[in-house]
Amino acid sequence: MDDNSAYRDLFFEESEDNLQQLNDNVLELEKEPDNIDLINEIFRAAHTLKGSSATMGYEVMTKLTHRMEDIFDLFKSGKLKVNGDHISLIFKCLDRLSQLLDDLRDEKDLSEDQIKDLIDELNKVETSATGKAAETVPAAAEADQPAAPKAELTATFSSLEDADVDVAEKAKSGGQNVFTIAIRLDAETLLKGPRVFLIMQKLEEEGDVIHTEPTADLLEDGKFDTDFKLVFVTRETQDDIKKNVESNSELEKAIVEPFDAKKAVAAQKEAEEAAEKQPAKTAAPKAAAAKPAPKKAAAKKPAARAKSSHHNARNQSIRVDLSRLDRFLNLVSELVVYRNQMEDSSHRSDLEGIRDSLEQVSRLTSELQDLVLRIRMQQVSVVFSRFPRMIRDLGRTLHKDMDLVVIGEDTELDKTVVSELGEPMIHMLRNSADHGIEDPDTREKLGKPRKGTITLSAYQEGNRVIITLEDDGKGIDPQVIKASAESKGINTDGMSEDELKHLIFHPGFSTAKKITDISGRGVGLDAVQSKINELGGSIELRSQVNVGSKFIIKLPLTLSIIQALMVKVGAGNFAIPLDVVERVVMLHDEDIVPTAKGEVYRFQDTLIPIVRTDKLLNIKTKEGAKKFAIIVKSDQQYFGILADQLIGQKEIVIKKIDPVLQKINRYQGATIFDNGSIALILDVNALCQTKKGTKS
Amino acid sequence: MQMILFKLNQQFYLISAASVEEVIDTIEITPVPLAAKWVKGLINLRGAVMTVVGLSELIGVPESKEYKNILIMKKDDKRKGLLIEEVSEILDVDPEKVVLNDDAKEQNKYYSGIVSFPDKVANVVDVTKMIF
Repeated sequence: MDDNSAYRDLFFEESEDNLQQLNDNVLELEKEPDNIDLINEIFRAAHTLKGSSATMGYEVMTKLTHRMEDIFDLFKSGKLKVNGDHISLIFKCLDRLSQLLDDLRDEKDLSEDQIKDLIDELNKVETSATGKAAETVPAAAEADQPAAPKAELTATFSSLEDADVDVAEKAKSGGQNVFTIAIRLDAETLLKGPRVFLIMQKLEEEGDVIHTEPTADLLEDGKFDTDFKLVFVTRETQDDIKKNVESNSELEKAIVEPFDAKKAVAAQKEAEEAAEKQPAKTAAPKAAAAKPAPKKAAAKKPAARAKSSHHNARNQSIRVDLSRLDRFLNLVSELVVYRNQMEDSSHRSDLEGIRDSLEQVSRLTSELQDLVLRIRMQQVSVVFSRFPRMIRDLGRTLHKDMDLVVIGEDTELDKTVVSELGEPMIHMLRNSADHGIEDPDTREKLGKPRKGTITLSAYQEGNRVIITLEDDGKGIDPQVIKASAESKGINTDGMSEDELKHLIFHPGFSTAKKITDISGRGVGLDAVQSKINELGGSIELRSQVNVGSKFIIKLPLTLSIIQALMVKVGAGNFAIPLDVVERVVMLHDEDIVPTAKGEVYRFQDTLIPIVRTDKLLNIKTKEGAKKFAIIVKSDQQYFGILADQLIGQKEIVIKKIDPVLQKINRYQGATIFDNGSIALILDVNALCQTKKGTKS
Repeated sequence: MQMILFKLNQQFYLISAASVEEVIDTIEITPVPLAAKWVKGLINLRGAVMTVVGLSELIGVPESKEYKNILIMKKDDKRKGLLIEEVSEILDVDPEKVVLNDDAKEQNKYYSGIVSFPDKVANVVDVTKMIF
């Protein structure tokens, strides 16, 4: 790994943040095109992005950011009006940048081809605004050609002051030599600042540097291209100085010549005059010439690395509030104190002392447990933040007018849940935008505002987080569903309206009359539902024709610790997540009524299916003994799950089980009892759905 | 090559020590209903839940009367237990002494060869591919 690897992760994280900020701000900008503060902020974020990618040597990224920045500049100066097309173009650039970032993370090479189309478009926009393009698009083949020739390295100055000349003249008359030294660093030099510092230090051993260009500050910060010049006063000869300079590494070229004040000043004047005449011309080629040089070097390195290393894992880091981390440290140090106390008491066989410190330790461990869980929490905004942008884009493609209102984006959920939530949410938002919200004309006819509203809200309720997605669109018409279902060969006999609506969760069901690009590509809401179930959550639907639809997703706050009801079936111990349990009843075999549709039990005036856990799991149990029915709710329906014995309610830690065992599709995981034995956690939804499956 | 020599139903077997992380005494195994026959169940190894695979069921030999040891097998960051009768010793086996299985026979995909000792013959088993 090269020296950069440590910074790479940081760079990716930072750039992602910058891109997200740009996305947010640009979205805002579309609404308030005249907000100068906003443009400034965008400018800053873009600039940071450009700066950091340039530092990392990712030329392609730098280039695209740079060109994008030019557009922002035009917005800023008012030469270009902010309109939807421009915003879309900027968004395209931002998307491309994230793509480039992903490629870099996978250690793929970037090429100019990847951004050529966008540069073209950006140029077009810029040309239309200013009448000329600042930079022509490099031909695709150019990547293989040597870098464009650089401006000749010369030993002339542009900001020499009279005082400097004076000092030089005095030194000369004092018998010292004055030289002009021009140095060009190697284009691949990574730490330009320190390199310059070393060169200067070496020189100053033999004389004095009286003037530098750029200024010494800029040089030491590395804020220059590759060239710098200085005036040097010394007693040594020209050859000695040349040797001194050339003994430095990472130099491409160095010129040492006697300082001629008149020539220098004359050249400076000339340059100034020239610059005044054509200010644009001199600036542009300089920028253009300096840029392509490091590109090849940057491209080579990742290639070499890609060979040796495997696919880079996604950034699995999490940001933690420092105060939480401090608290963590405090708790741990407290824990250490009590551990020592306990050891001490144990040496003295002081049982009372041990008991006291044990009490403290148990308090501390539960506090720690709580805290660790909280550290794992992430705000849903991590996922939600990209939605406004998505809805905007969808609105444009679908020619609909809609707004996304996000409420409670600071609600926290376990990191695993948050990161898994993105996909299903995108799917549902697309559904709402595509099938839910009507086009503006239809809305007007129905007496609704032309602009549709999609409301996404998140809030915590006890031990779970509720996420609702509501649109004021056309809602789900049971009759349309019915017709659609029947045409697909799904039996809808005797289904209530509610049941019909829930058919949208049926595998392979798409309500879109025609399949659009946005949604309805086969993977429907059934996938969303199974994902939510996988996360231990549930999804509910409320919908009213022409009023809108509301999806309610309930998710557990954390995945790893839950309240569970421990039961015994046969000889085995099992855990049932408490959140699905409605009630527990004791029953005898005669309470179970066999019907044509399977065994049922009368519960609250309805007949609910009985799930014989022992049969489903192939466990031997005693016949005829009294049983317990755990009444659970799965997919809007009650089921009675039979157990032989109740052990009690416990807070359990969910341990993952082997993928081989997960495939059985009966267990969510396993947990360890106080006495060290293991109990399997039943996947209630899967059990009930299997029951349903066998019934029909 | 370090290998672990162990017994299973009066037969001797060898397994590469590199694939074994540790050897533990058999502890309580919680059966998993509906799991494949060769999955003996779950154990609690110092707070981690681990699947235990029965070697006799896996390679299709009669069950032993007792199972005294579990080999904790590792592959990358995955761990699985392998239930065996008893570990005899850890040996340094010259790789050249391993008589590779005749490919033509291909009677069993779990045996990769045979090693002859003066007093016994041991099958070399390689189950890593099968259980992970």
